[in-house]
This record gives sequence, structure tokens and C-alpha cells, in this order.
Amino acid sequence: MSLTAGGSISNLHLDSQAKLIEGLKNGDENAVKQLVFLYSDRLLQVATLILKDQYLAEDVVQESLLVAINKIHQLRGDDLSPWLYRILVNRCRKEQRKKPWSVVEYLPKNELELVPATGVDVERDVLEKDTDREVMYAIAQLPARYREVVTLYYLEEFSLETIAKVTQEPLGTIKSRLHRARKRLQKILIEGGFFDGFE
Amino acid sequence: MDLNDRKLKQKLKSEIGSIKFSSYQKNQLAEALIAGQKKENLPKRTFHLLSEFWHGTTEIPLYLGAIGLLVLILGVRNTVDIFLIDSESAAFLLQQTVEIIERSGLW
Repeated sequence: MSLTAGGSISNLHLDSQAKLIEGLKNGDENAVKQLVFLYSDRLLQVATLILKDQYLAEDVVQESLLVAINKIHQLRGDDLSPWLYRILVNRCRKEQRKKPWSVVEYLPKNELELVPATGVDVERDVLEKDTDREVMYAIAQLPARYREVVTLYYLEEFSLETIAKVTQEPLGTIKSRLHRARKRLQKILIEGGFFDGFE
Repeated sequence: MDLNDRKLKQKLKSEIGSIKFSSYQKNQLAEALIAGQKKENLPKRTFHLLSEFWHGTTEIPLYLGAIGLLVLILGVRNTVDIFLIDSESAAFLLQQTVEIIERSGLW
């Protein structure tokens, strides 16, 4: 198993994954470190997009990894990745239920600079750097369930079947959500004047 | 004009690339997880097991539930006490009852 400097994985073979799972089941500390260096950044990025709050996402990633380590015996097979994301998505949903009032209203690009910065979160960061993070900003406008699907599809490049497993939703629902989310994304990007960069 | 999936993926990844844990944070996270794992593997006390079971099945806090149960037990006990008497009192009450019936001429 080889790790890059940033902690991402260059090539995780199935046997390496099986060894990692075996190590976690045996309480091996090195396996825990490997898990953190392999998955923490990817989980953090997904959680940040879903929750729109990087600091909250950091807590959720830590909780999710702890749950994963302590419940590793419940994992069937060697497919660690979807299982991890499933735990993460469930934790994100739990956090969202705690603050259902957190809704981002879409603002046209020329009004973004007028929005006062409150709190430290990705929403603010996105609003301040609208030209740098236009896709993130557009995703932040989507409803939570759409954000989940879009994040797993565009960022993690999961298949629709895997997304259905991760989100525990029927495949048809995932297809429909992705279709609607893409339409909304396109609308937001066009109205915000961001779309040129994709042509 | 349709969204170009490939370009969207590339752009999203480049935008979010800076959001990541530092090496220091990763080491801290790993240490916290190892500590958490050890804690989880410790033999659990009865109260902890009871607490886990309780909170896995109901949202009422365990302490509140325990107080409620105690109040219920005390209430039932006080009610039952009215009917609980010793043998001497029972004999006295029986004797008095028989005398009353005899005096009344019903028996």
C-alpha cells in the first residue's frame, strides 16, 4: 500500500484493503493510522460539501471514523469504502437534523460581496471567494439530499448503484435526484454567471 | 447548454482540494481514534450497558426514567400497605366483625 504526501491513496488493491480491514479488526494501531491517512481527507471534503461547514465536518469525520473502527466487525466483505461513506452520510444527516434552519439562499454573483460574513464556515468562504469556488457555491444552494448525491457522484465518482448503497435509497430515487440536481446546478451556474468556465 | 460532467468533476476537485487535514491533525486524529478504540474495548460496567440499552430503545433520559420508576414503586407500595396487616390485627378485626354480626341477629 503506498501513500502520497497528501495522505491520499495512489493505488489501494483489494488485498491491501483486506489487510487493512483485518488490521482494524485485530485492533492494530498502524491500521488505524493507515485508515486516517487514506480516508480522512476524502471524508472531510464530502462532509464539508454536505454540511457546508468545514469545522463541523472535521468533527463528523472523527466521529465517523471512530464508529467505523468500533463497528468494523459488522462489515461484510472487503468493500470498506462505501461502508465508510455510509457511516459518514448518516452522521451528516444526524447533524443536519440538529439545525434544520440552516438554509443557504442563492444570491446572484454581483450581490455576493454584499453578504456579511458571519461565523466561520465554508458558506462564508465560498461567498468570499466566489470566483474560485463557484461549483462549491452552486452545490451549497442545493437541498441536502441533492448535495449528498451530487457530492458522491462528482467528487467521489461513485456509480449510481454505489450511491444507492451509501445513501440507503432506491436506485430510481438516486437517478431522479441526480437528474434534478444537475438541472438545478446548471441553472445556478448560469444565473450566477459561472457557466462560462465549463464550456 | 448542458453541464459537462468531466469538467465539473475537475473543477470541483480543484476547488475543494485545499480542504484537508494537516499531517499534524491526522496524527492527532489517529491518536484520538486509538484512544477511543481502547476505551471502547474496556470491560463495560453494568450501568454503562444498561445506559446503552436504554438509549438504544428510548429517548427518555435514564435518570428521569429511574426517578419515574422509583415514584411508581413508592406509589404502589403505599397503596398496597392499606391491605397489609399483621396477624393480631387480623384476629381482632375478625373477632369484632363476628361480634357485630352476632349482635345484629343476622347469624
